Amino acid sequence: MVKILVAEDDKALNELVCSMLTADGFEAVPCYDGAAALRATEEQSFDMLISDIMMPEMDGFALAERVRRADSHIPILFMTALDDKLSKQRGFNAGIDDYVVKPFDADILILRVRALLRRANIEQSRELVAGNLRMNKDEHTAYVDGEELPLTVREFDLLFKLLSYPKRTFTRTQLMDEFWDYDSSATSRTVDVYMSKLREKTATCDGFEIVTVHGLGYKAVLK
Amino acid sequence: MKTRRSKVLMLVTGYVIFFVTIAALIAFSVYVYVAAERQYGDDKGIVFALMLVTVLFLALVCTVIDGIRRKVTVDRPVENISDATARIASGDFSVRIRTFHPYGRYDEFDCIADNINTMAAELSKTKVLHTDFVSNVSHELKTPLAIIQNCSQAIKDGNPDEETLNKYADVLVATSKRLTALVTNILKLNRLENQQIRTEPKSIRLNEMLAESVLAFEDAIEAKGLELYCDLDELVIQSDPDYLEIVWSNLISNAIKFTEPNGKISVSLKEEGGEAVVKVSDTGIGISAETGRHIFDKFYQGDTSHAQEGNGLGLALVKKVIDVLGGEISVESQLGKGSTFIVRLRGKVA
Repeated sequence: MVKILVAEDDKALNELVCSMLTADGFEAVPCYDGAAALRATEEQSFDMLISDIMMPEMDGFALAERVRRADSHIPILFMTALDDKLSKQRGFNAGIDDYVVKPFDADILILRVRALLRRANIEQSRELVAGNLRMNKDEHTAYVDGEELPLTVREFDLLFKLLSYPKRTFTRTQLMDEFWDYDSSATSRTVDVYMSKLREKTATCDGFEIVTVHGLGYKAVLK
Repeated sequence: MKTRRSKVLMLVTGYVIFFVTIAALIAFSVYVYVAAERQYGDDKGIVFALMLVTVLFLALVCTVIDGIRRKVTVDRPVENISDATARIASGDFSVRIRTFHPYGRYDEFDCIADNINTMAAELSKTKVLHTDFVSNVSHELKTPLAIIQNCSQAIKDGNPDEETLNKYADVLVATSKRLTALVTNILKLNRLENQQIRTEPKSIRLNEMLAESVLAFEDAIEAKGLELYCDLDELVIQSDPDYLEIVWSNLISNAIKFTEPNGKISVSLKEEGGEAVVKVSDTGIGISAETGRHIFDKFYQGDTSHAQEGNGLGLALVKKVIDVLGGEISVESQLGKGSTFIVRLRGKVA
C-alpha cells in the first residue's frame, strides 16, 4: 500500500486530508509539526510527503530540504496558502515536486498525488509504460510490442515529457523553451511538424493519443 | 526633449541679451569717461576715481538684476517642486504643480513639474484601487461567512434529514468557493500593494500569457466537460503582467463558472488598430441588459443584492485594473445564450 506522510499543523485539515487519502486507498500518517515529520521519515519509509509551509518547530522549506537530502526520489507535495512566485521558487529550490494552493478541491489533491506518484515511479524505474509502448530514459529507446521504435533524441524527449504529464497541455512555446536551443531558428510551427511526425510514428501505440488542444498546444491522453 | 530649433533659439536669445547688456555697460562707461575727461581733464586722479565708482555702481546694478531674475526663474519653481515632492512623499497624491509657462514653451522646470503631475495622478489611481476595493470587499466577506456560520449551526442544532443535509452541504460548498474567490482577489491585490510602486511596463508575449492563464484552469474545464476553443495571434505588448493576470484569471474563471456542463468557452486575441483585443466568450447563462449595464459598477455601488450570483466582485476589480492599465472592457451578452467580454489594451503593440 502506498504510504503518505501528511505534515500539517492544523489538526482539522490534517485529519480531513488523511481521510481523503484513506478513502482513495492510500495509507496516510499525520504529523502536526515539521520536526515530528522529519523524525517520522527517519523512523519509517514513506512513498510520498505532503507538507504545509507554515508549521511550528520546523517550516516546510526546511523539512523539504532535509527530506530531499536524505532521499532524492521521494515525491514532495506542498499544500499551502502561500501562492506567490517567491514561495513557489523557494519550494522548488528546496526540492519539492508540486504545489497545491489552499483551499483546494479534494479531487484536485488526489489527482496531483496520483500524477506525482506516477512520475516518481517513472523516475525511479527509469522506464515509462503506456499501453504497448515502453520507453527507457537512460538508453533513450522506445519499444512498441517489443519492437524498437526509431525516434530522434528530440522526438523521444517530447514524447517522454507529454507521457510523464498525461492530460496536461503544454503550449508550443513551453515545449520550444525546453527542447530547442535558444538561438535555434525553430518557430512554433516546427513543434507542429514534430508532433505530426510523432503521431505517424506512434500510430501503432494503443495506450495513448497525442491530442492537439486547439490554439493552445499539445497533450497526451492515456486510453 | 527640446528640439534643435528651440536650442538654437535659446542660444540666440542669450547672445542678444549679453550683447545688449555689454553694449549698454560700455556705452554708459564711455559716456561717463568722456564727461569726466571734459570736466576734470587735467586731474587724472579724479577721472580715475569717478570711473572706479561707475564700475562699482554698474556691478551692483547687475547683481540686483541677476538676483531678481534668479528669484523668478529658478528659486520659485524649485520651491514649488520641492514642496510638491515633499507632500507626495508623505502620501498626499492629490497635489498638482502649476506649470510656469504655457504648453509649447515649456522650460526644464515645466517638464519636471509635468512629470511630477503625471506621477502623482498614477499613484493616486493605484491607491484608490486598493483602498476602495479592500474596503468594499471586506464588507462582502461577511455575507458568505454568515451563511457558513448559520448553515453549520443549523446542521449541528437541528436534526436534518438526508435531503436537507445534502442541500446544506451544497450551500456550504458554493459559499466557501465564493469566499475563496474574494480572498484570492484581496491577496493578489495586497501583494501588488506590497510592491509599493508599480513596476515598469514589461514586454509581454500576450498570446503565451493567455494560453498559460487558460491552462491553469485546464482541470476545471475538463471536470465540467467544457469545449475549449482558443485563437491567439502572436502579439507582444508593454504592460504589467501581475495586473493582467488578475484580469484573465477572473474572466476565465467566470466563463467556466457560469457555463453549463458541455458548453463552450472561447478565448481569442487579435490586433485591431494598434490595440490588443482579447475576447473571452462562453455559452453560459448570459447577462440581462439591465445587469449588463451595471456589471462593472458594483465596485462603486456596493450593491449586495446580486451577491448570490457570486461573481466575488471579480468583474469590478477587473474593470478597475483595466482602468489603471489604460484599456477598456465591455460585454456583449444574450440571456441564456452566453456572454462575450471584450478587453482592449493600449500599450505599444510590437
